Amino acid sequence: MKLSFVETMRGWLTLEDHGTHPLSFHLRAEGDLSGNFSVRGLIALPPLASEAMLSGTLQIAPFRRSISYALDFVADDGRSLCLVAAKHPSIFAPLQGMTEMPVELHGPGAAVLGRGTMRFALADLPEFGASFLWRGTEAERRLEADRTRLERRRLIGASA
Amino acid sequence: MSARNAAIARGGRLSPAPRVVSPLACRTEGRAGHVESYFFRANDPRAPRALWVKATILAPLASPPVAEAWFIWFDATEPAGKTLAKRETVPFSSAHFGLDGIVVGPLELELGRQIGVRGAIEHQGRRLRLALRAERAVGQASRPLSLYPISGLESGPFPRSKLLTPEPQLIVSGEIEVDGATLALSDWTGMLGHNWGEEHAAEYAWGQCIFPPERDQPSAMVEGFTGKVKVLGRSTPWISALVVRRGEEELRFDRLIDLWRQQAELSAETWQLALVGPGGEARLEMSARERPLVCLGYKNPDGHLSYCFNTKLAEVHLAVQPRRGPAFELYSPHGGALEFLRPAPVAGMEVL
Repeated sequence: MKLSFVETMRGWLTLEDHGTHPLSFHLRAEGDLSGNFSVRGLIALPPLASEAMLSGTLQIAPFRRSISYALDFVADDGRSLCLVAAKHPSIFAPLQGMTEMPVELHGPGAAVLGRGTMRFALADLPEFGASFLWRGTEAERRLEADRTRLERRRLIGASA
Repeated sequence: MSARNAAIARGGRLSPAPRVVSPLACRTEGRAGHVESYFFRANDPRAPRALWVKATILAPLASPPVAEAWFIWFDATEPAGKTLAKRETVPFSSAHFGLDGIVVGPLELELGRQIGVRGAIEHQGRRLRLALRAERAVGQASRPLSLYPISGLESGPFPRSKLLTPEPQLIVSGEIEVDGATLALSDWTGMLGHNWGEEHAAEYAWGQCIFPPERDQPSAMVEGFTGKVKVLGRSTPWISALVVRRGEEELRFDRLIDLWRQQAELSAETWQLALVGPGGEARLEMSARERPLVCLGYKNPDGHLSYCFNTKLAEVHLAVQPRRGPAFELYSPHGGALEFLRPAPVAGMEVL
């Protein structure tokens, strides 16, 4: 059985040598009941990546109480970076476990460039829930429109 | 059909049409116990220099009203940059405050369709002459800005001091002559603000910055405040609001009463603000460290002085997590207007 959903998370990340910066991603995950999902979407982490395409994996492991993300993207300066994160749902703190997520930013050679926390806004819950049930939701359309806009900007930039 | 026309058609009773007041309209109404200020600033986006002029009204409780013209030239360029500040006071009856423009002593502000600033002063052997014109930025960015979440706060009794920005984003050109050297302005960023009230606010930090367009990013503007107001004779905790305009988008962080979503830190030269609001989440840092700072004495109608510490060359960092769309950051090395109003002066600092 195929599963898919659209998710947005926002937070702040402190770079080892460059202060604290806003971080957001908006992604679509596609997978099945095994809990393995492939993801694609957009990430923003200024000043490293004003807005970049992301791709990667998401694994839901109920027995390990873990939802882990590995999101690859290319920074504005051409470096390959990876955002590694995991939620740890808990029956003792269900809300916090599902909405707060510590993240690490890895650079080439898996060097840790920064750490932070991202949050899922409860205001996004209806949109998130709807994306499980239906294709073509507003959140999905917005994501595709943003990806198209970014791709077009990239192509225009490359040809300029 | 509008509600008003529908009411007429039904033959029903009609309440008076709401009075639309121009954001530039003078609110003094000739009464004692009033302060009012129109202020214009222009910043060189390429160098640390800026102009700030003000036309103010002070209507004391126990003496005739006066109007004041303030000229402040901030210059931190090397090697010769030097700040120049002067105030001239004239009887209110000799000044003109109208929707067409303002004249106070040597200062002329042309309002209306076109905005212009003219004036000349001499002070301690130095000379400043202005002949500027300003155009509104294209699109939504230039519409009047209020930091209040509801329009009733601009006209009602609370807060006692009001704040509006009729022209939040201007493109300024013309000439500034400082000590005989003429500077031709091209695409300087500017704004025109308007404050009024029964007295100056108890204590506040206020800031504004315009970020010119960069690469494929649109121009942007941020304006906000953190202040204390008096309610039943007591000061409130810090209350903050912030508005960010970027391209055609406006993000508001202006709930005012949700103090648990507001974090403000003020020091002698810095202002840090973190807010959560309908627009998402925003963090602003403005700093006047190592920037020219002037201190203006603002007289209240009851005679006591408030002290305004101001630079127009503040360093600005803004980070925003919009409710919709990607996170973004904006930075200006010297484009910020940063003002602190405090109840006491700083020892050794000249008060204008």
